[in-house]
Amino acid sequence: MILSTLNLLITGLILLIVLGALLAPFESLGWWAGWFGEKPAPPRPDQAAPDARVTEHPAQSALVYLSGIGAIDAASIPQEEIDWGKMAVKRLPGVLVVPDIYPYSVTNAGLTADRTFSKVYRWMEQRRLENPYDALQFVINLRNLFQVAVSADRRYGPIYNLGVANEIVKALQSRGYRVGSGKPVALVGFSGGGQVAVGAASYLAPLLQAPIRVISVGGVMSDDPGLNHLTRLYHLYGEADPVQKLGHWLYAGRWKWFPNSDWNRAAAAGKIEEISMGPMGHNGAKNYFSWTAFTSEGTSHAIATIDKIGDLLAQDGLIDPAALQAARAATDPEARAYEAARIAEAARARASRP
Amino acid sequence: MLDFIRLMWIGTIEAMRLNPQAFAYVEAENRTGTVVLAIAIVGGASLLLGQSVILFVNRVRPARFVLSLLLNGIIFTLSLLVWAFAIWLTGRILFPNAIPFATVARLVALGAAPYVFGFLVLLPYAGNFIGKVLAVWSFLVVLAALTTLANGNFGAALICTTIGWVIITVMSATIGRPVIALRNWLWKRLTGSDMEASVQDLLTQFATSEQAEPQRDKGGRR
Repeated sequence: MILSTLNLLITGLILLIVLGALLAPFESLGWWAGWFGEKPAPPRPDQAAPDARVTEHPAQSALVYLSGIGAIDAASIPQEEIDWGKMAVKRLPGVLVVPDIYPYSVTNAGLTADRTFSKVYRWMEQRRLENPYDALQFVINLRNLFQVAVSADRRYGPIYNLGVANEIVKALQSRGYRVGSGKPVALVGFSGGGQVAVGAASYLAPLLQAPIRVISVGGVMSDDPGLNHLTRLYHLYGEADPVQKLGHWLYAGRWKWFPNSDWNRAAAAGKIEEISMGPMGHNGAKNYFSWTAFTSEGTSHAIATIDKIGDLLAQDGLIDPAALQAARAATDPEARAYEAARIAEAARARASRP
Repeated sequence: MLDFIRLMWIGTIEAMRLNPQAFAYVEAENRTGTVVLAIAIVGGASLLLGQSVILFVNRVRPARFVLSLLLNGIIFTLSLLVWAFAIWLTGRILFPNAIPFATVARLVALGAAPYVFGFLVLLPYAGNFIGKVLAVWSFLVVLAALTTLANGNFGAALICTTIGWVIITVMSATIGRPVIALRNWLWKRLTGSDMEASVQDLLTQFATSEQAEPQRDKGGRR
């Protein structure tokens, strides 16, 4: 009796997961076809009249952050990414930062926006606020994981990535980025955000008419045609991160047996640089955003990741090295204090466990 | 109605299991024709559902979307019948026999059974692979069904199936062109979409400009 109930539950769960995967492409396909609202076609953002209320931002480059698959909407992302992002903005001076893109929707609409299951996602968001490691996060991760697969799929990707690129351009414009200015744009994508960043590059390069770089933080990326439109792809990976390796295993175009794939041609052309971040993990206490795990040099993982991004931007001339050093010096005490506070918090949590 | 659906399901599963008893039953019983026909139409519709990205790209409205699925089911069934005819003709010439065309048609139409799961082609990323698996499976069903029909003579079944397929391919590129053009015209009239437009074709206008042409456009036609 118990076994048959268990079987029924497992079968039901598998069917639900398959159903979720089957329905995953419909959001972007329906958007394109105008099924959800009567929009005939998305407008070309670079041809829209610029918003007169927004003045051009003085920064000489822009950075767009695309969160990992734990995101519920652009603002509701795991706490570790929020804290990390706030510090990143301070330590990367002179760069126009765009943090509010939800990369798992073609319309930048989060899961708690006007959707069929928005109430369920709000409930899950509430649970996550109470417990960041709530088991139901699995549902959100899975939902977003399917969208990553849509982005990587050569049939759906062109539509999905167009929608995301469209939203990125709009977000850049709303912050004062002038299309046609040629100012370089760097997309920093964590986990699945890495794939969406590479996919969106297909459209960002022609729409923005600017060099596009992608900095993947443990990104799970496919052999995407977007690689042809990138100036550079930096892949930061942790030695203890098995998730980022999935991209290499799952996407045949990344296997060495296909030298003419987009990935292998980009790699042969020297466009892709893989950079080890030491013993960092994808999730858990030793992840890329951790304030309580440290590198062998004594830097917290969070700061080490931010600084590596800063180094790459400086190396490519997207950030002024002197300003970068000054910003680091100015924010070091705050970073130390934050690390100490988080270590104390973790110690208290450990002590309170029965 | 429920009984009919149950029979369709059994027919689909047994064909996919390459069950010789099921093939023998379909061979012997003329009345299985309706069930087999329904499997073929559902297979065609399900396959198009799996490949429906082309309908979305063409911005087909929901009502026409459903119509397209049905139409594809019928077109798919007709193409199976043409294949069956080529196989039947090959068999008649190379291995003289008195097997009626209707029997061959029923067994070849069973080749649509794996495509009942054609909707799985929708699955992001894995879908393309599943599509290829279903195509091979479909061929195996036809081959197994014809082997049963040829009293276990696998060689004869393989020769007829392969030559039949070659005939269809050659005809499609030569004298069959007007038929394909008619099919495409009918499709466009009913669904309002082009059967062969690629995703890149339709997005190119949006995504690129003359000043910033992509370096390479894989698979897209200009």
